[in-house]
Amino acid sequence: MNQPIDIASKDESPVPKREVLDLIGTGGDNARFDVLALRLFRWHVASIPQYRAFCERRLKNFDSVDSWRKIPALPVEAFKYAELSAVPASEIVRRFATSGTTRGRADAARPGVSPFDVEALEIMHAAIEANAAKHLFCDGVRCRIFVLTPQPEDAPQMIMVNGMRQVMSRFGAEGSGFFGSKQGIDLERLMLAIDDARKVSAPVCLIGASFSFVHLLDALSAANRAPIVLPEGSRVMDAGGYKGRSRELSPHVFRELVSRAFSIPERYIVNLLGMTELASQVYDNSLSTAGREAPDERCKVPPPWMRTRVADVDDPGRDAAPGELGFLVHYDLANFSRPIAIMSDDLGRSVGSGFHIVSRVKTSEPRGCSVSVDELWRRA
Amino acid sequence: MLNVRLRADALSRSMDLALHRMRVGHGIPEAAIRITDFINRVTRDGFEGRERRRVAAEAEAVRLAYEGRNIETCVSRLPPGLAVGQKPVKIKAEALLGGVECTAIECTPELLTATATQLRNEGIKAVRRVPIARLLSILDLASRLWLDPTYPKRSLAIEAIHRWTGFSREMVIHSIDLEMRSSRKLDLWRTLWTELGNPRVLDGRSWSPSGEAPTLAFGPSLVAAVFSSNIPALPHLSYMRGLAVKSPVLGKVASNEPIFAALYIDTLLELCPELAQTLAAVWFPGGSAELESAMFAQADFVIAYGSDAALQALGRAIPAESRRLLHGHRMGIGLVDQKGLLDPELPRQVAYDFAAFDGQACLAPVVYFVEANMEAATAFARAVGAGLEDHATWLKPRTMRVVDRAARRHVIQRWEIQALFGQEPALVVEPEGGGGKWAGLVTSGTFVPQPLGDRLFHIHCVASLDQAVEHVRPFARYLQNAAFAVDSPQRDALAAELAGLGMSRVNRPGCMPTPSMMWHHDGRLCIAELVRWADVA
Repeated sequence: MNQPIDIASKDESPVPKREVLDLIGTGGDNARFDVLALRLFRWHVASIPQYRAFCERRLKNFDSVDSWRKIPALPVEAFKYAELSAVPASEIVRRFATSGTTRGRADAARPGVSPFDVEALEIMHAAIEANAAKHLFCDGVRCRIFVLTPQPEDAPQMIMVNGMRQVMSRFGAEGSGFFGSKQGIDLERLMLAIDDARKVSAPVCLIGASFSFVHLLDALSAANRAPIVLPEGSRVMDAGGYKGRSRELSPHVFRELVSRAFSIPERYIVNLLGMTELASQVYDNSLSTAGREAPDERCKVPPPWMRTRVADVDDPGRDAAPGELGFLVHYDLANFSRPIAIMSDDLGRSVGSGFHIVSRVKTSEPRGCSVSVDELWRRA
Repeated sequence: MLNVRLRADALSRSMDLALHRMRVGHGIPEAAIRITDFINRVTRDGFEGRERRRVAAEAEAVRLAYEGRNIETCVSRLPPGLAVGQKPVKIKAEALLGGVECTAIECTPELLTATATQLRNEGIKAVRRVPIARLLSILDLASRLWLDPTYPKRSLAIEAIHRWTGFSREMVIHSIDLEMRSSRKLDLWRTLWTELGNPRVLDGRSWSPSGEAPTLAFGPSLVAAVFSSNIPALPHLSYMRGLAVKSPVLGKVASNEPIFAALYIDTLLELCPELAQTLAAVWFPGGSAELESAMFAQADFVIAYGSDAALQALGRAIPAESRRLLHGHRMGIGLVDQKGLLDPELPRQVAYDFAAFDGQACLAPVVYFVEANMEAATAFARAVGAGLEDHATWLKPRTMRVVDRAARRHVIQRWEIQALFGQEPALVVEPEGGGGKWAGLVTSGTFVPQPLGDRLFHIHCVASLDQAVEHVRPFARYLQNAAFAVDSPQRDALAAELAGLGMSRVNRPGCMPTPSMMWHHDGRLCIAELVRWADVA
């Protein structure tokens, strides 16, 4: 068994939120990132017993953690078992649900929970704004933002909807709104809003889950409404993938179809990686580098208060060889009172200054003709 | 001099075969079990040592023989005349290790229909002209050739399958050995006698042993078989069963292991050229309804292996009146009682069950239930881990694609989280110092089947083995293979109960992956189900 971690001599007090907000506001440098990451880590080890237990299993020696890269990354699975926060449960004000459940065992048959206290919410909102300003509205264009999800009141547990509201209230021009409901997209209302915007040549920003764009494209072509010429400066942001709720499109095909349907250039179509377990999101760099003479290859670039490491699939403590497929591990200081190092279920590879997401890790795949776990449960 | 050496080799192979049969219990009468158990104990180390040295030496020889050489092979075999002018296409899958290129003759519905027609019209005449005794001798001779390390096709198959699938050469060798060792004349004759009464009913009107009216038996006019890729060299089974009832066989090879079938057909045709119209192997991408329909339209019997979903899809293409044997995914289990747990040999035997075919066979265990507390079960799991490490020195693990390695790591990670954060007892055992060569999950309480394979294993604690029966009851339709380290009379009671649920084979730990090729797969007869009878008074 590993030695228990001795943290008595280390500073394990809560980190003032101001320090994280400063980093988000100013960008900061590597040294500051490292210092803050290690302080948050020590605070979390001291205050989140489950995370501490996890670290004890992973680490031989606490002192070996001398850079953010060595902070043990918690698999997202952990959020299905416990409410992981460094502040007492009484201070939690919002709980967002993670997708998916763990079946079978009595203690884990529920979706995961991502808890937020007031300070953590404030930091998340600051991160959302700073990130959107840099990657979605970097040209200063003020758009009418049309969101394809239900109103936040109708989906209080969805962190994505919460984030979209934040973006809308900070960056949206008059006429912005939500156009989804539990039944799907309100196409008529959306078309009226788009026509309105076109009359006055107001640029539009369509935001929604990737699958809702597929539904929208299908509805438009069924109603013979495509293509629509959106005013210049219009853009699209999709997030969250497909989750089996529509047919799946490769990013390349998605951009091609959306670009054709709304007559906007592909670089104005930006995909966003968001996870309930993270407070920050990661955008495609296509819009933020569009103005340059030689734009970078499209990839996801983490904001300055976040790092993403591509971890070796056999030994996730090590980095994957350059260009090799590996687990995406995110280190997000905006997670603040929750563990900052999160091991995702995404496989990707590093590219230039960022990374590509390639696929989800296969889960409960059939192994040869030994029965697949999914199949067992379907039939049981 | 050479002659003497060859004879000595053949003699030692025969001895290994006899010992192997004794170890896995093929053809051993119930009354002789105690005697063979004794012989087993005495010969075990010697036998296993010999096996390991032989497999290692052959793997190395094959590696050297093909070093730096690219292998090109066409996986299709069509009756003479049909292949003329057909252009080969590349198979739509990549060799996992590179260095082998597989091509196939492009299949069109017309070509498949013509092939099926040829087999059904000409092939059946040819095979029915050959007396059953000769057919069984040919099959036996084929098995003997495939067991001979100097047989060039064997070396080619080992290297090509290794490169294409990522299975280690050692595992491919072991796989071919297991299959061919139980596909000998004795197995074939015995199965025919058991299932048909008198094998000569396949040659003509013959009396049944009970003295009832003379009968004739006919195999299907065409057997269509769809192969899977999870066990190297398995397609030989369907060809063997087809020929054992004098039927033509049209096989569709899997993209992930397309190589073996054609080579095996070549062996049979070398031994009996008259069968050229009788045996065919084709490849086309899965999921093409038109091609599947053309393949099955004239088959009066279909054998297929695959997932439930794949079999369901195939089922739609099979004519309603055709009979079928569809082998889907299965779940193997092991049961160990308190006394069984004390056997020092047990961990290594259990490890072998998990390691064989890298856990890809339907025979592979999903779990071993042990009558023990968490502490004892954990100690046992560590011993199984050590056993896996030991077996990995001769049955080397397969090479996996990065996405599969990620999936495997993800499983271990989920176990870790479950063990740390879950409320029910769970523990993950891994090699000292990590490395991920193997990992085991030990649980008690609720039983949840885990995705295993590739040296992952699961031990679940029960207070009594009756609980194990309750644990697997929801999954009854998937039960197939079980290993018991249980004292009688509980052994018989548990076996009866599980068999009542659907389990079709009980053996000892260490024997899960080694049924005879003529076993009652999924509880079905392997020869008698194929034949049709005619009573001729």
